Amino acid sequence: MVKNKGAGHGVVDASHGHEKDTRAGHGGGEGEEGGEYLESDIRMLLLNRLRELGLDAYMASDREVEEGPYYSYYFTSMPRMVTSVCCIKVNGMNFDCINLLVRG
Amino acid sequence: MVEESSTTHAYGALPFYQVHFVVKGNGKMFEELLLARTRKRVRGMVRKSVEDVWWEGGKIAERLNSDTRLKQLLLTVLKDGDDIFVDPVENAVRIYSRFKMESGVVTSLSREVIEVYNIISGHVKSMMREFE
Repeated sequence: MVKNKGAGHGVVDASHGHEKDTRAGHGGGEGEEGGEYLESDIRMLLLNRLRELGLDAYMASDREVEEGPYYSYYFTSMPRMVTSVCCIKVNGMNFDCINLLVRG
Repeated sequence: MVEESSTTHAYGALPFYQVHFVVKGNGKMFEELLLARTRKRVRGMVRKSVEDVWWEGGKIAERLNSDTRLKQLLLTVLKDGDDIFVDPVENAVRIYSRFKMESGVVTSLSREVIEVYNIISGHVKSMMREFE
C-alpha cells in the first residue's frame, strides 16, 4: 500500500492552516489519500448515479442473488461466463436489489 | 505497488456490464407466466424514432401490454436503449437489458429507466402473489 506518498508532490499551503492539494489537476497518483480524485470504481459510479437520481441506494451483499443462476437461457445470446460485481439495494422500490454483472 | 483486491477485474479486454433488477422468489415455478421480452418497430436510421413497442411471452406480457404508462415510457426509453427481458431463474426473476460498455452502463440509467424497471417489477411481484 502506498501511504502519504504525496508529501513531496502536493502543494501544501501551511499559512492557511489547511492542506491545499493540487495533484488532482496534474494526473495525481494511485493510492494517494485525501484530495480530489476521479472515481473509477464501477460500483461507486453506479451507486453515486442512483443517489444523484434521488434514490435511497446502498451497497449490500446478498449471497442468494450474487451466487445464483443469472439466466434461464430461454433467450439466445446470453453469455455463459459472467461474474457478479456488486449488489445494490434501493429503498422504496418494487425490485429487491440491483445486481451488476460483468462479462467474463 | 498497490495491492489488487480480489474483486478487481483485468482490463486487458474492455469489460462489458449488465444491470439486473432482481425480484426475489421462486421464478422457476412461474416460468411460463413470467418469461417475456419487448419488441419494437423503429422508423428512420439517422433520426430514429420508436413507432411501437409491445411485449411478447407468457401471461405477464398481456398485463405489461395493457399498462399505458409503461408503454409511454418505453417509447422514449427504447429509442436509445436495447430490448428489456423478464427472465425467471431458480431463486429470482431477473429483469435486464443488453450488455453495455463501462461508460454506457452508468449514463443509461435515468429516472425514466428506473421507473420502467420499477413498474415491471411491480407487475412481476403481483403476478407471483396471485398465482402462488
